[in-house]
Amino acid sequence: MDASPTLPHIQVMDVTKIFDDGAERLTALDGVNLSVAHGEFVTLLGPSGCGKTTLLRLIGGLAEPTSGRITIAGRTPAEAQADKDLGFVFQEPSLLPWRTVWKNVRLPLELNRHSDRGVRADVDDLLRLVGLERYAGYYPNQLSGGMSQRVALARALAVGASLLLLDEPFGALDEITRESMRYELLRVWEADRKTVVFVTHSITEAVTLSDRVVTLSGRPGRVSGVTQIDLPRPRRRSMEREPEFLRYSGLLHDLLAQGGRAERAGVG
Amino acid sequence: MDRPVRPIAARRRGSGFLQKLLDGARPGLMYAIPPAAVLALCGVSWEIWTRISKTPEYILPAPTKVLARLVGDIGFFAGHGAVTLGEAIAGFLLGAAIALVGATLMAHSRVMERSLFPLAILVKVTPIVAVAPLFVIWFGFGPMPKVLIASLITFFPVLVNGVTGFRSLDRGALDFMRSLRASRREVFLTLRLPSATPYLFAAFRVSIPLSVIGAVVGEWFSADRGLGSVIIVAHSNLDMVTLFAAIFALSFIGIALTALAAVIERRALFWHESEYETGTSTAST
Repeated sequence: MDASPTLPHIQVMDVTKIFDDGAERLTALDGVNLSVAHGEFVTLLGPSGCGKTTLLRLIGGLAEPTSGRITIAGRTPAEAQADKDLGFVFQEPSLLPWRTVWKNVRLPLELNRHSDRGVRADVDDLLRLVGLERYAGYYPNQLSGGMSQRVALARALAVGASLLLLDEPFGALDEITRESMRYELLRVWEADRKTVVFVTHSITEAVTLSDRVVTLSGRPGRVSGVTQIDLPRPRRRSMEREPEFLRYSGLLHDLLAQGGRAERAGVG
Repeated sequence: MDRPVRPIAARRRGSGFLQKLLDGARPGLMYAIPPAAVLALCGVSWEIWTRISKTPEYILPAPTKVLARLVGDIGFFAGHGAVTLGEAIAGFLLGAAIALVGATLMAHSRVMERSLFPLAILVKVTPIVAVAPLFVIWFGFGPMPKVLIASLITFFPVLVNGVTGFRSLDRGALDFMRSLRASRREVFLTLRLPSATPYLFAAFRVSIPLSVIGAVVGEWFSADRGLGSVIIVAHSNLDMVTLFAAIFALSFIGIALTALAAVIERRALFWHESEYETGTSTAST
Protein backbone atom coordinates (compact mmCIF):
# COMPACT_ATOMS: atom_id res chain seq x y z
CA MET A 1 0.00 0.00 0.00
CA ASP A 2 1.27 3.43 -0.89
CA ALA A 3 -0.81 5.18 1.71
CA SER A 4 1.19 8.31 2.28
CA PRO A 5 -0.41 10.31 5.09
CA THR A 6 -0.21 13.52 3.05
CA LEU A 7 -2.43 12.07 0.35
CA PRO A 8 -6.14 11.98 0.99
CA HIS A 9 -7.48 8.61 2.10
CA ILE A 10 -10.44 8.83 -0.25
CA GLN A 11 -10.60 10.80 -3.45
CA VAL A 12 -13.80 11.14 -5.43
CA MET A 13 -13.09 12.83 -8.75
CA ASP A 14 -15.91 14.15 -10.90
CA VAL A 15 -18.09 11.14 -10.26
CA THR A 16 -21.40 10.74 -12.04
CA LYS A 17 -23.78 7.85 -11.55
CA ILE A 18 -26.71 7.27 -13.86
CA PHE A 19 -29.17 4.45 -13.28
CA ASP A 20 -30.59 3.35 -16.59
CA ASP A 21 -32.92 0.39 -16.72
CA GLY A 22 -33.91 0.97 -20.33
CA ALA A 23 -37.24 2.55 -19.48
CA GLU A 24 -35.99 5.28 -17.19
CA ARG A 25 -32.78 7.25 -16.73
CA LEU A 26 -32.04 8.59 -13.29
CA THR A 27 -29.01 10.74 -12.60
CA ALA A 28 -28.26 9.89 -8.98
CA LEU A 29 -24.97 11.78 -8.78
CA ASP A 30 -23.71 14.51 -11.04
CA GLY A 31 -20.08 15.61 -11.04
CA VAL A 32 -19.31 14.96 -7.38
CA ASN A 33 -15.86 15.81 -6.02
CA LEU A 34 -14.76 14.96 -2.52
CA SER A 35 -11.63 14.12 -0.63
CA VAL A 36 -11.37 12.65 2.83
CA ALA A 37 -8.19 12.74 4.91
CA HIS A 38 -6.82 9.84 6.94
CA GLY A 39 -8.53 9.62 10.32
CA GLU A 40 -11.21 12.10 9.34
CA PHE A 41 -14.87 11.66 10.26
CA VAL A 42 -16.91 12.89 7.31
CA THR A 43 -20.69 12.87 7.11
CA LEU A 44 -22.74 12.88 3.92
CA LEU A 45 -25.92 14.73 4.82
CA GLY A 46 -28.96 15.15 2.65
CA PRO A 47 -32.63 14.34 2.16
CA SER A 48 -33.83 10.90 1.05
CA GLY A 49 -33.02 10.25 -2.58
CA CYS A 50 -30.18 12.76 -2.81
CA GLY A 51 -27.70 10.06 -3.74
CA LYS A 52 -25.75 9.96 -0.47
CA THR A 53 -26.14 6.21 -0.10
CA THR A 54 -25.22 5.77 -3.78
CA LEU A 55 -22.04 7.77 -3.20
CA LEU A 56 -21.15 5.61 -0.20
CA ARG A 57 -21.73 2.42 -2.20
CA LEU A 58 -19.51 3.74 -4.99
CA ILE A 59 -16.75 4.48 -2.46
CA GLY A 60 -17.17 0.99 -1.04
CA GLY A 61 -17.06 -0.63 -4.47
CA LEU A 62 -20.59 -2.06 -4.27
CA ALA A 63 -21.45 -0.17 -7.45
CA GLU A 64 -19.47 1.35 -10.32
CA PRO A 65 -19.56 5.04 -11.25
CA THR A 66 -20.87 5.85 -14.73
CA SER A 67 -17.99 8.27 -15.14
CA GLY A 68 -15.28 9.72 -12.93
CA ARG A 69 -12.84 8.03 -10.61
CA ILE A 70 -12.61 7.00 -6.98
CA THR A 71 -9.43 6.03 -5.18
CA ILE A 72 -8.91 4.68 -1.69
CA ALA A 73 -5.34 5.19 -0.57
CA GLY A 74 -4.30 5.10 -4.21
CA ARG A 75 -6.28 1.97 -5.07
CA THR A 76 -9.58 1.39 -6.79
CA PRO A 77 -12.46 0.48 -4.46
CA ALA A 78 -12.33 -3.08 -5.84
CA GLU A 79 -8.67 -3.34 -4.86
CA ALA A 80 -9.45 -1.94 -1.42
CA GLN A 81 -12.13 -4.65 -1.09
CA ALA A 82 -9.66 -7.32 -2.09
CA ASP A 83 -7.26 -5.98 0.57
CA LYS A 84 -10.11 -6.16 3.10
CA ASP A 85 -9.54 -2.50 3.76
CA LEU A 86 -13.10 -1.26 4.22
CA GLY A 87 -15.78 -2.15 6.72
CA PHE A 88 -19.48 -1.54 6.06
CA VAL A 89 -22.40 -1.02 8.43
CA PHE A 90 -25.84 -0.70 6.86
CA GLN A 91 -29.17 0.62 8.05
CA GLU A 92 -30.30 -2.90 8.89
CA PRO A 93 -27.89 -4.93 11.03
CA SER A 94 -28.01 -7.80 8.49
CA LEU A 95 -26.57 -10.29 10.94
CA LEU A 96 -26.66 -14.00 10.17
CA PRO A 97 -29.51 -15.26 12.40
CA TRP A 98 -28.13 -18.81 12.69
CA ARG A 99 -24.87 -17.57 14.17
CA THR A 100 -24.25 -16.36 17.70
CA VAL A 101 -23.12 -12.78 18.29
CA TRP A 102 -19.55 -14.05 18.65
CA LYS A 103 -19.61 -15.93 15.38
CA ASN A 104 -21.25 -13.01 13.58
CA VAL A 105 -18.41 -10.74 14.61
CA ARG A 106 -15.94 -13.38 13.50
CA LEU A 107 -17.43 -13.58 9.99
CA PRO A 108 -14.93 -11.21 8.30
CA LEU A 109 -12.07 -13.32 9.66
CA GLU A 110 -13.43 -16.35 7.81
CA LEU A 111 -13.81 -14.73 4.40
CA ASN A 112 -11.19 -13.94 1.77
CA ARG A 113 -8.51 -15.14 4.16
CA HIS A 114 -5.52 -14.85 1.88
CA SER A 115 -5.81 -11.06 2.19
CA ASP A 116 -5.37 -11.07 5.95
CA ARG A 117 -2.49 -8.91 7.00
CA GLY A 118 -1.08 -10.82 9.94
CA VAL A 119 -2.86 -8.80 12.58
CA ARG A 120 -6.14 -10.55 13.32
CA ALA A 121 -8.80 -8.74 15.23
CA ASP A 122 -9.72 -10.34 18.53
CA VAL A 123 -13.46 -11.01 18.67
CA ASP A 124 -13.62 -10.81 22.46
CA ASP A 125 -11.84 -7.46 22.46
CA LEU A 126 -14.26 -6.09 19.88
CA LEU A 127 -17.29 -7.30 21.84
CA ARG A 128 -15.85 -5.63 24.93
CA LEU A 129 -15.32 -2.44 22.92
CA VAL A 130 -18.99 -2.28 21.93
CA GLY A 131 -20.08 -3.36 25.41
CA LEU A 132 -21.53 -6.73 24.45
CA GLU A 133 -19.06 -9.17 26.00
CA ARG A 134 -21.85 -10.69 28.07
CA TYR A 135 -23.93 -11.42 24.98
CA ALA A 136 -21.36 -13.39 22.98
CA GLY A 137 -23.50 -16.54 23.06
CA TYR A 138 -26.79 -14.84 22.14
CA TYR A 139 -28.47 -15.16 18.77
CA PRO A 140 -29.47 -12.04 16.81
CA ASN A 141 -33.21 -12.59 17.36
CA GLN A 142 -32.61 -12.25 21.10
CA LEU A 143 -31.10 -8.77 20.73
CA SER A 144 -32.68 -5.32 20.62
CA GLY A 145 -32.18 -3.07 17.59
CA GLY A 146 -29.45 -1.06 19.28
CA MET A 147 -27.55 -4.16 20.35
CA SER A 148 -27.81 -5.67 16.87
CA GLN A 149 -26.36 -2.52 15.37
CA ARG A 150 -23.48 -2.64 17.86
CA VAL A 151 -22.79 -6.21 16.73
CA ALA A 152 -22.82 -4.97 13.13
CA LEU A 153 -20.32 -2.29 14.12
CA ALA A 154 -18.07 -4.84 15.83
CA ARG A 155 -18.32 -7.03 12.72
CA ALA A 156 -17.23 -4.11 10.52
CA LEU A 157 -14.33 -3.41 12.89
CA ALA A 158 -13.31 -7.08 12.76
CA VAL A 159 -12.41 -6.58 9.11
CA GLY A 160 -9.41 -4.68 10.45
CA ALA A 161 -9.87 -2.01 7.77
CA SER A 162 -8.59 1.55 7.94
CA LEU A 163 -11.88 2.84 6.54
CA LEU A 164 -15.40 2.52 7.95
CA LEU A 165 -18.42 3.15 5.74
CA LEU A 166 -21.62 3.65 7.73
CA ASP A 167 -24.89 3.89 5.81
CA GLU A 168 -27.53 5.40 8.10
CA PRO A 169 -26.59 2.86 10.75
CA PHE A 170 -29.01 4.34 13.31
CA GLY A 171 -31.81 5.00 10.83
CA ALA A 172 -33.96 2.10 11.97
CA LEU A 173 -33.59 2.79 15.70
CA ASP A 174 -35.90 4.67 18.04
CA GLU A 175 -34.92 8.22 19.03
CA ILE A 176 -33.63 7.38 22.51
CA THR A 177 -31.47 4.51 21.31
CA ARG A 178 -30.23 6.63 18.42
CA GLU A 179 -28.97 9.25 20.81
CA SER A 180 -27.02 6.83 22.96
CA MET A 181 -25.64 5.10 19.86
CA ARG A 182 -24.15 8.39 18.65
CA TYR A 183 -21.95 8.62 21.70
CA GLU A 184 -21.27 4.90 21.68
CA LEU A 185 -19.95 5.24 18.11
CA LEU A 186 -17.81 8.24 19.09
CA ARG A 187 -16.34 6.34 22.04
CA VAL A 188 -15.46 3.40 19.77
CA TRP A 189 -14.06 5.72 17.12
CA GLU A 190 -11.91 7.63 19.63
CA ALA A 191 -10.08 4.37 20.38
CA ASP A 192 -8.15 4.41 17.09
CA ARG A 193 -9.69 7.13 14.89
CA LYS A 194 -10.16 5.29 11.65
CA THR A 195 -11.36 7.19 8.63
CA VAL A 196 -15.18 7.22 8.65
CA VAL A 197 -17.70 8.13 6.01
CA PHE A 198 -21.10 8.37 7.63
CA VAL A 199 -24.38 8.74 5.77
CA THR A 200 -27.39 10.29 7.51
CA HIS A 201 -30.32 12.65 7.11
CA SER A 202 -30.12 13.75 10.74
CA ILE A 203 -28.54 17.16 11.29
CA THR A 204 -27.92 16.44 14.99
CA GLU A 205 -26.04 13.27 14.12
CA ALA A 206 -23.99 15.12 11.54
CA VAL A 207 -22.94 17.89 13.94
CA THR A 208 -22.31 15.59 16.90
CA LEU A 209 -20.13 13.12 15.06
CA SER A 210 -18.30 14.85 12.24
CA ASP A 211 -15.12 16.74 11.53
CA ARG A 212 -16.66 17.79 8.25
CA VAL A 213 -20.20 17.64 6.87
CA VAL A 214 -20.82 17.36 3.14
CA THR A 215 -24.37 18.41 2.26
CA LEU A 216 -25.91 16.97 -0.87
CA SER A 217 -28.90 18.25 -2.77
CA GLY A 218 -31.11 15.82 -4.57
CA ARG A 219 -31.89 14.78 -8.15
CA PRO A 220 -29.35 14.97 -9.57
CA GLY A 221 -27.21 14.62 -6.44
CA ARG A 222 -24.67 17.41 -6.16
CA VAL A 223 -22.48 18.65 -3.33
CA SER A 224 -24.23 21.79 -2.07
CA GLY A 225 -21.82 22.64 0.70
CA VAL A 226 -18.96 21.49 2.91
CA THR A 227 -19.00 22.54 6.55
CA GLN A 228 -16.09 22.18 8.97
CA ILE A 229 -17.38 21.35 12.47
CA ASP A 230 -14.91 22.95 14.88
CA LEU A 231 -16.29 21.58 18.11
CA PRO A 232 -13.77 20.20 20.61
CA ARG A 233 -13.36 16.45 20.95
CA PRO A 234 -14.30 14.28 22.69
CA ARG A 235 -17.81 15.48 22.05
CA ARG A 236 -20.25 15.36 24.94
CA ARG A 237 -24.00 15.17 25.28
CA SER A 238 -24.11 18.56 27.01
CA MET A 239 -22.74 20.20 23.85
CA GLU A 240 -26.01 19.60 22.07
CA ARG A 241 -27.53 22.52 24.01
CA GLU A 242 -24.63 24.95 23.54
CA PRO A 243 -24.96 27.94 21.18
CA GLU A 244 -22.04 26.81 18.98
CA PHE A 245 -23.71 23.45 18.35
CA LEU A 246 -27.01 25.12 17.57
CA ARG A 247 -25.27 27.53 15.21
CA TYR A 248 -23.87 24.59 13.20
CA SER A 249 -27.28 22.93 13.20
CA GLY A 250 -28.86 26.11 11.86
CA LEU A 251 -26.15 26.44 9.22
CA LEU A 252 -26.68 22.88 7.96
CA HIS A 253 -30.41 23.35 8.08
CA ASP A 254 -30.10 26.41 5.82
CA LEU A 255 -27.76 24.57 3.45
CA LEU A 256 -30.27 21.72 3.11
CA ALA A 257 -33.13 24.18 2.58
CA GLN A 258 -31.12 26.04 -0.08
CA GLY A 259 -30.40 22.75 -1.81
CA GLY A 260 -34.10 22.05 -1.81
CA ARG A 261 -34.87 25.48 -3.31
CA ALA A 262 -32.18 25.15 -5.95
CA GLU A 263 -33.60 21.75 -6.84
CA ARG A 264 -37.10 23.10 -7.27
CA ALA A 265 -35.83 26.05 -9.28
CA GLY A 266 -33.82 23.69 -11.48
CA VAL A 267 -36.80 21.45 -12.15
CA GLY A 268 -39.27 24.29 -12.77
CA MET B 1 -33.22 -0.18 26.98
CA ASP B 2 -30.48 -2.47 25.85
CA ARG B 3 -31.71 -5.69 27.32
CA PRO B 4 -32.59 -8.61 25.08
CA VAL B 5 -36.14 -8.17 23.92
CA ARG B 6 -37.11 -11.75 23.33
CA PRO B 7 -37.54 -13.81 26.46
CA ILE B 8 -36.07 -17.25 26.32
CA ALA B 9 -39.01 -18.97 27.95
CA ALA B 10 -41.57 -20.62 25.70
CA ARG B 11 -44.80 -18.74 25.16
CA ARG B 12 -48.07 -20.16 26.33
CA ARG B 13 -51.46 -19.45 24.88
CA GLY B 14 -54.98 -20.05 26.11
CA SER B 15 -56.10 -20.91 29.58
CA GLY B 16 -59.06 -23.26 29.12
CA PHE B 17 -59.37 -26.54 30.93
CA LEU B 18 -57.97 -28.57 28.03
CA GLN B 19 -55.07 -26.15 27.68
CA LYS B 20 -54.23 -26.50 31.39
CA LEU B 21 -54.40 -30.23 31.09
CA LEU B 22 -52.09 -30.15 28.11
CA ASP B 23 -49.70 -27.73 29.76
CA GLY B 24 -49.28 -30.20 32.58
CA ALA B 25 -48.24 -32.90 30.14
CA ARG B 26 -44.74 -33.20 28.71
CA PRO B 27 -44.36 -31.01 25.60
CA GLY B 28 -44.19 -33.98 23.21
CA LEU B 29 -47.31 -35.49 24.70
CA MET B 30 -49.05 -32.14 24.49
CA TYR B 31 -48.85 -32.27 20.71
CA ALA B 32 -49.66 -35.97 20.46
CA ILE B 33 -52.82 -36.09 22.56
CA PRO B 34 -55.33 -34.11 20.42
CA PRO B 35 -54.63 -35.87 17.10
CA ALA B 36 -54.50 -39.26 18.84
CA ALA B 37 -57.92 -38.59 20.37
CA VAL B 38 -59.41 -37.72 16.98
CA LEU B 39 -57.83 -40.78 15.42
CA ALA B 40 -59.18 -43.02 18.17
CA LEU B 41 -62.65 -41.56 17.63
CA CYS B 42 -62.48 -42.35 13.91
CA GLY B 43 -61.37 -45.90 14.66
CA VAL B 44 -64.15 -46.48 17.15
CA SER B 45 -66.81 -45.14 14.74
CA TRP B 46 -65.45 -47.37 11.99
CA GLU B 47 -65.54 -50.40 14.30
CA ILE B 48 -69.12 -49.69 15.40
CA TRP B 49 -70.25 -49.11 11.81
CA THR B 50 -68.87 -52.40 10.53
CA ARG B 51 -70.52 -54.28 13.42
CA ILE B 52 -73.94 -52.65 13.14
CA SER B 53 -74.16 -52.76 9.35
CA LYS B 54 -72.64 -56.24 9.17
CA THR B 55 -70.51 -55.14 6.23
CA PRO B 56 -68.81 -58.20 4.71
CA GLU B 57 -65.12 -58.47 5.44
CA TYR B 58 -64.14 -58.44 1.74
CA ILE B 59 -65.66 -54.94 1.45
CA LEU B 60 -64.60 -53.27 4.68
CA PRO B 61 -63.00 -55.22 7.53
CA ALA B 62 -63.28 -53.95 11.12
CA PRO B 63 -60.20 -52.05 12.30
CA THR B 64 -59.68 -54.48 15.18
CA LYS B 65 -59.34 -57.32 12.66
CA VAL B 66 -56.88 -55.30 10.59
CA LEU B 67 -54.82 -54.49 13.68
CA ALA B 68 -54.92 -58.12 14.76
CA ARG B 69 -53.60 -59.16 11.35
CA LEU B 70 -50.92 -56.47 11.47
CA VAL B 71 -49.73 -57.37 14.96
CA GLY B 72 -50.14 -61.10 14.49
CA ASP B 73 -47.96 -61.12 11.40
CA ILE B 74 -45.69 -58.23 12.35
CA GLY B 75 -42.60 -59.90 10.91
CA PHE B 76 -44.22 -60.15 7.48
CA PHE B 77 -45.29 -56.49 7.41
CA ALA B 78 -42.07 -55.21 8.94
CA GLY B 79 -40.04 -57.08 6.32
CA HIS B 80 -42.01 -55.72 3.37
CA GLY B 81 -42.25 -52.33 5.04
CA ALA B 82 -38.47 -52.17 5.37
CA VAL B 83 -38.13 -52.80 1.62
CA THR B 84 -40.56 -49.97 0.76
CA LEU B 85 -39.00 -47.67 3.35
CA GLY B 86 -35.51 -48.31 1.95
CA GLU B 87 -36.65 -47.56 -1.60
CA ALA B 88 -38.43 -44.39 -0.47
CA ILE B 89 -35.44 -43.10 1.49
CA ALA B 90 -32.98 -43.92 -1.29
CA GLY B 91 -35.28 -42.26 -3.81
CA PHE B 92 -35.73 -39.18 -1.63
CA LEU B 93 -31.99 -38.80 -1.08
CA LEU B 94 -31.24 -39.22 -4.77
CA GLY B 95 -34.02 -36.87 -5.90
CA ALA B 96 -33.14 -34.23 -3.28
CA ALA B 97 -29.43 -34.40 -4.14
CA ILE B 98 -30.05 -33.91 -7.87
CA ALA B 99 -32.54 -31.13 -7.11
CA LEU B 100 -30.01 -29.35 -4.87
CA VAL B 101 -27.33 -29.44 -7.54
CA GLY B 102 -29.85 -28.15 -10.08
CA ALA B 103 -31.08 -25.43 -7.73
CA THR B 104 -27.51 -24.30 -7.05
CA LEU B 105 -26.81 -23.97 -10.77
CA MET B 106 -30.10 -22.22 -11.43
CA ALA B 107 -29.73 -19.81 -8.51
CA HIS B 108 -26.37 -18.66 -9.83
CA SER B 109 -27.29 -18.26 -13.47
CA ARG B 110 -30.46 -17.06 -15.15
CA VAL B 111 -29.39 -18.82 -18.36
CA MET B 112 -29.21 -22.11 -16.47
CA GLU B 113 -32.59 -21.42 -14.96
CA ARG B 114 -34.16 -20.70 -18.34
CA SER B 115 -32.71 -23.83 -19.90
CA LEU B 116 -33.27 -26.26 -17.04
CA PHE B 117 -36.56 -25.14 -15.58
CA PRO B 118 -38.82 -26.17 -18.49
CA LEU B 119 -37.26 -29.62 -18.31
CA ALA B 120 -38.02 -29.78 -14.59
CA ILE B 121 -41.61 -28.75 -15.26
CA LEU B 122 -41.90 -31.46 -17.90
CA VAL B 123 -40.79 -34.02 -15.30
CA LYS B 124 -43.26 -32.56 -12.85
CA VAL B 125 -46.36 -32.56 -15.10
CA THR B 126 -45.82 -36.05 -16.50
CA PRO B 127 -47.97 -38.43 -14.41
CA ILE B 128 -45.58 -40.69 -12.57
CA VAL B 129 -47.93 -43.67 -12.94
CA ALA B 130 -47.54 -43.39 -16.71
CA VAL B 131 -43.76 -43.59 -16.51
CA ALA B 132 -43.58 -46.42 -14.01
CA PRO B 133 -44.13 -49.35 -16.46
CA LEU B 134 -41.46 -47.90 -18.73
CA PHE B 135 -38.96 -47.81 -15.87
CA VAL B 136 -39.63 -51.48 -15.20
CA ILE B 137 -38.70 -52.33 -18.78
CA TRP B 138 -35.57 -50.20 -18.58
CA PHE B 139 -34.35 -51.03 -15.12
CA GLY B 140 -35.72 -54.48 -14.40
CA PHE B 141 -37.49 -55.97 -11.43
CA GLY B 142 -35.04 -55.02 -8.69
CA PRO B 143 -35.21 -51.97 -6.40
CA MET B 144 -33.79 -49.67 -9.09
CA PRO B 145 -37.02 -48.58 -10.86
CA LYS B 146 -38.75 -47.98 -7.49
CA VAL B 147 -35.91 -45.79 -6.27
CA LEU B 148 -35.94 -43.84 -9.52
CA ILE B 149 -39.70 -43.30 -9.44
CA ALA B 150 -39.46 -42.12 -5.83
CA SER B 151 -36.63 -39.75 -6.73
CA LEU B 152 -38.53 -38.40 -9.72
CA ILE B 153 -41.51 -37.55 -7.57
CA THR B 154 -39.41 -35.91 -4.81
CA PHE B 155 -37.28 -33.91 -7.20
CA PHE B 156 -39.54 -31.01 -8.10
CA PRO B 157 -40.55 -29.54 -4.72
CA VAL B 158 -36.93 -29.53 -3.58
CA LEU B 159 -35.79 -27.90 -6.81
CA VAL B 160 -38.36 -25.09 -6.74
CA ASN B 161 -37.86 -24.30 -3.06
CA GLY B 162 -34.10 -24.60 -3.44
CA VAL B 163 -33.96 -21.98 -6.19
CA THR B 164 -36.21 -19.63 -4.20
CA GLY B 165 -34.25 -20.30 -1.02
CA PHE B 166 -30.83 -19.73 -2.54
CA ARG B 167 -32.06 -16.39 -3.86
CA SER B 168 -33.86 -15.27 -0.69
CA LEU B 169 -31.05 -13.73 1.22
CA ASP B 170 -30.41 -10.66 3.29
CA ARG B 171 -29.14 -8.01 0.83
CA GLY B 172 -27.14 -6.29 3.54
CA ALA B 173 -25.35 -9.49 4.51
CA LEU B 174 -24.60 -10.15 0.84
CA ASP B 175 -23.29 -6.60 0.38
CA PHE B 176 -21.14 -6.97 3.47
CA MET B 177 -19.59 -10.17 2.13
CA ARG B 178 -19.12 -8.62 -1.31
CA SER B 179 -17.33 -5.68 0.31
CA LEU B 180 -14.76 -8.19 1.55
CA ARG B 181 -14.43 -9.85 -1.84
CA ALA B 182 -15.80 -13.12 -0.50
CA SER B 183 -15.70 -15.82 -3.17
CA ARG B 184 -18.88 -17.32 -4.64
CA ARG B 185 -18.10 -20.47 -2.74
CA GLU B 186 -17.80 -18.58 0.54
CA VAL B 187 -21.05 -16.71 -0.12
CA PHE B 188 -22.77 -19.98 -0.96
CA LEU B 189 -21.60 -21.85 2.11
CA THR B 190 -21.88 -19.09 4.70
CA LEU B 191 -24.95 -17.26 3.41
CA ARG B 192 -26.97 -18.90 0.62
CA LEU B 193 -27.14 -22.43 1.96
CA PRO B 194 -28.10 -21.54 5.55
CA SER B 195 -30.58 -18.93 4.28
CA ALA B 196 -32.23 -21.59 2.14
CA THR B 197 -32.68 -24.19 4.88
CA PRO B 198 -36.21 -23.06 5.88
CA TYR B 199 -37.26 -23.40 2.23
CA LEU B 200 -35.54 -26.75 1.88
CA PHE B 201 -37.18 -28.19 4.97
CA ALA B 202 -40.57 -27.01 3.74
CA ALA B 203 -39.86 -28.94 0.52
CA PHE B 204 -38.71 -32.02 2.44
CA ARG B 205 -41.99 -32.03 4.32
CA VAL B 206 -43.80 -32.37 0.99
CA SER B 207 -41.27 -34.66 -0.64
CA ILE B 208 -40.86 -37.27 2.05
CA PRO B 209 -44.45 -38.58 1.95
CA LEU B 210 -44.29 -38.35 -1.86
CA SER B 211 -41.25 -40.61 -1.90
CA VAL B 212 -43.27 -43.34 -0.16
CA ILE B 213 -45.97 -42.96 -2.83
CA GLY B 214 -43.31 -43.28 -5.52
CA ALA B 215 -41.93 -46.48 -4.01
CA VAL B 216 -45.40 -48.05 -3.70
CA VAL B 217 -46.36 -47.14 -7.26
CA GLY B 218 -43.11 -48.68 -8.46
CA GLU B 219 -43.89 -51.89 -6.56
CA TRP B 220 -47.31 -52.20 -8.13
CA PHE B 221 -45.79 -52.78 -11.51
CA SER B 222 -43.06 -55.21 -10.69
CA ALA B 223 -42.34 -56.57 -7.32
CA ASP B 224 -42.54 -59.58 -5.13
CA ARG B 225 -41.33 -57.55 -2.18
CA GLY B 226 -42.51 -54.37 -0.49
CA LEU B 227 -45.89 -53.19 0.78
CA GLY B 228 -46.95 -52.16 -2.73
CA SER B 229 -46.70 -55.75 -3.90
CA VAL B 230 -48.48 -56.95 -0.74
CA ILE B 231 -51.37 -54.64 -1.66
CA ILE B 232 -51.56 -55.94 -5.25
CA VAL B 233 -51.50 -59.59 -4.18
CA ALA B 234 -54.04 -59.03 -1.39
CA HIS B 235 -56.26 -57.17 -3.82
CA SER B 236 -56.33 -59.99 -6.34
CA ASN B 237 -57.17 -62.45 -3.51
CA LEU B 238 -59.89 -60.13 -2.15
CA ASP B 239 -57.97 -60.32 1.13
CA MET B 240 -59.09 -56.93 2.46
CA VAL B 241 -57.73 -57.53 5.94
CA THR B 242 -54.17 -57.87 4.61
CA LEU B 243 -54.70 -55.00 2.20
CA PHE B 244 -55.79 -52.70 5.01
CA ALA B 245 -52.99 -53.90 7.23
CA ALA B 246 -50.51 -52.94 4.49
CA ILE B 247 -52.18 -49.52 4.22
CA PHE B 248 -51.89 -49.09 7.99
CA ALA B 249 -48.23 -50.01 7.80
CA LEU B 250 -47.68 -47.45 5.03
CA SER B 251 -49.41 -44.74 7.07
CA PHE B 252 -47.18 -45.60 9.96
CA ILE B 253 -44.08 -45.27 7.77
CA GLY B 254 -45.33 -41.92 6.50
CA ILE B 255 -45.98 -40.63 10.02
CA ALA B 256 -42.62 -41.84 11.29
CA LEU B 257 -40.71 -40.19 8.42
CA THR B 258 -42.61 -36.92 8.75
CA ALA B 259 -42.05 -36.84 12.50
CA LEU B 260 -38.35 -37.53 12.02
CA ALA B 261 -38.11 -34.70 9.51
CA ALA B 262 -39.95 -32.37 11.91
CA VAL B 263 -37.50 -33.16 14.71
CA ILE B 264 -34.49 -32.53 12.48
CA GLU B 265 -36.11 -29.35 11.18
CA ARG B 266 -36.73 -28.01 14.65
CA ARG B 267 -33.11 -28.58 15.58
CA ALA B 268 -31.71 -27.11 12.38
CA LEU B 269 -33.99 -24.07 12.26
CA PHE B 270 -33.86 -23.04 15.91
CA TRP B 271 -32.97 -19.53 14.68
CA HIS B 272 -35.86 -19.14 12.27
CA GLU B 273 -39.10 -17.19 12.89
CA SER B 274 -41.27 -20.18 12.03
CA GLU B 275 -40.05 -21.91 15.16
CA TYR B 276 -41.40 -19.24 17.51
CA GLU B 277 -44.93 -20.10 16.52
CA THR B 278 -44.66 -23.48 18.13
CA GLY B 279 -43.17 -21.93 21.24
CA THR B 280 -39.81 -23.60 20.78
CA SER B 281 -37.22 -21.63 22.66
CA THR B 282 -34.04 -20.39 21.06
CA ALA B 283 -30.55 -20.25 22.41
CA SER B 284 -29.28 -21.57 25.65
CA THR B 285 -27.17 -18.71 26.86
